[in-house]
Amino acid sequence: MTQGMRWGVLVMGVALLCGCSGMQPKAWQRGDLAQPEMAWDPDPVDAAIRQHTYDSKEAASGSATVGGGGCGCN
Amino acid sequence: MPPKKNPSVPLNQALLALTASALAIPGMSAQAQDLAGDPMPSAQRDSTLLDYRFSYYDEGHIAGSKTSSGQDSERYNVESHQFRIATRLGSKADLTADATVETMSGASPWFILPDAKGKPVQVMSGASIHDFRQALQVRANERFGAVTGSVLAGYSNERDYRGANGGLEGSWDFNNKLTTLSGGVGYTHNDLDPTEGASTRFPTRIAHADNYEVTGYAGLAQVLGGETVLQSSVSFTYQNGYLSDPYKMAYVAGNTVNDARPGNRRKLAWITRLRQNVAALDAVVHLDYRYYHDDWGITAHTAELAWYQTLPWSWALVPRVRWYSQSQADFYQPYYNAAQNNGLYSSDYRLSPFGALSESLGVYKRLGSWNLSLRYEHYSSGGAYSIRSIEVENPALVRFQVFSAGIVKTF
Amino acid sequence: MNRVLCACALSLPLLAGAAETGQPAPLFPALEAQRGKVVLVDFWASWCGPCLQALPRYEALRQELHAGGFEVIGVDVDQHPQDGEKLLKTLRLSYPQVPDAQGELAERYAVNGMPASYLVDRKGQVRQMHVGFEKNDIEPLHKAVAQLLEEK
Repeated sequence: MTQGMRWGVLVMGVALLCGCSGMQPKAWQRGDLAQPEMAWDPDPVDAAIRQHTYDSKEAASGSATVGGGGCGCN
Repeated sequence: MPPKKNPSVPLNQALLALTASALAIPGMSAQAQDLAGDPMPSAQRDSTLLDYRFSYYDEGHIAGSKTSSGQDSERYNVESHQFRIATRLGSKADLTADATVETMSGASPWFILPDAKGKPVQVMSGASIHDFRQALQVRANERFGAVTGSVLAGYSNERDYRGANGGLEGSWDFNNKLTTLSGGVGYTHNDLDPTEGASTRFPTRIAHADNYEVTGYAGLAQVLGGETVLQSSVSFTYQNGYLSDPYKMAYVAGNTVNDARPGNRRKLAWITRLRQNVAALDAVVHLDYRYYHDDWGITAHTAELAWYQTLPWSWALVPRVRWYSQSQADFYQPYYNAAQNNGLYSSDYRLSPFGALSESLGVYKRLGSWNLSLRYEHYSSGGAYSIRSIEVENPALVRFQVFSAGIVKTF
Repeated sequence: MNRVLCACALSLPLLAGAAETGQPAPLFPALEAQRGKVVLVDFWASWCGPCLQALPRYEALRQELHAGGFEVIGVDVDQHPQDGEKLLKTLRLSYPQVPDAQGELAERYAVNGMPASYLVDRKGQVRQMHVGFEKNDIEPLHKAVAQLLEEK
């Protein structure tokens, strides 16, 4: 589609290939990954209200979840 | 003889000792650390969590130079109370319920007039709006080995707006738990019963309308080394029904007409999220980017950068910058000098071209099984933040600040 | 791109010396010290939830069967060793702990999930391997240990 999208597909492709490469952490090397700060949303309740606020003031929406949530649109 | 059921070791104490991180706020849904090869992410060690957050949303006044009256006008305020309870059901399932109660008040943009020089000026809704929203979302997750399935349902209720939604989500860990494929489908139905619809005061305002929305997404998350996780997801949404704003009007060659938008909308969002540990500074960087496009002609970019800084004594600081830019909907105009053949009219600032910048700072402090937080955000929108230069800025573009405080208790 | 593919080829697991059922357990000093006993070698880390659930239950098992010749050896694979040490101070486990921040032992045992446990018989052979931990795992483990303790 756009140049940005092509880059993204490339990045994900390389990421997948790396899934089998030597740079991957072993089972016992995932302590840093297990930190709560590494979560997609470390504070999900705060993330929910922020997203709701942006969604009600901007045209764009859409995220990696399907949870719904009302208008609040004035 | 079976082993002793209750070992003499104080497990709870031990668990507390290691969640020294100020940000150990459990989210019971799928998270990045699921990829850490841990069937139960660190955050889920506790069996029950209660979370309460109060947020005060305060929209800045609209300046007199942008209103038809020439007077400053106050805008919208929202007080939100969010409650979450999350609990484990056995070793493989958990349940999360989110309740939200909000009170909204203030004035809202109504329509836009051209002034003597053709500059668009805003007419605000006369009376102060008072509304109350309550919403409930429930989500159940169950693990079946490498696969997690989720069912979610919810509703949202305002005096003039009711929505009900349901959805299914799933995720699958493979490649030694280095890769997670996730996806979901959801459906929402909304009913609108606008205040004073079809009244003698607002005879053209609709009395009732409805719409529905079908959404689906698929995403792939990949561990890139011991300190990096990347996720990319594509979400598609189809909306159908009444998608206009029943309270808004548009100025068309000396008259005002109802806001009128197409009866359907197709939205595509492509979201990429990166989480990077910075071991040397005991910090984690979050970088999110979203590309958005819809068939109303709007293209938008959202980029967000957050820095999770762990500090001594279980404190943490989270500065965040978010940038947003959108192009306008094809049919949008601040005001119309002539009737349109397609019958579509909207002067809503949400459909106008603009950009926005927001800065936020969060502070977290963990005290045993309690977690306290404060957050301040300032958001400002305008042509200056847009990716493309904007000829005519919508006068109603918002500026707001949010004060927020949260408290979490785990059991 | 070539570099990525090369990396893939190079990452084939080094099979030599990996722990396998029926094969001698890779030796290390703490294990050698328990020669003649039935030993559970448990690879754990402070960031791993199921590992933490397992620790006190292994402690209980150990307290019950120690007199019969059973021992547990904990291998703490925390890359930041202070995290594991802090936890051990609170838990006060009675069985020996081996720090393995560099993952040398984990590598030799070819640990492929967390926690990973290896049940070693009196002759030093790996008799059972297990990845992950749930409360229900304790009862079959208890049986297996009791059975191995019968073997002379």
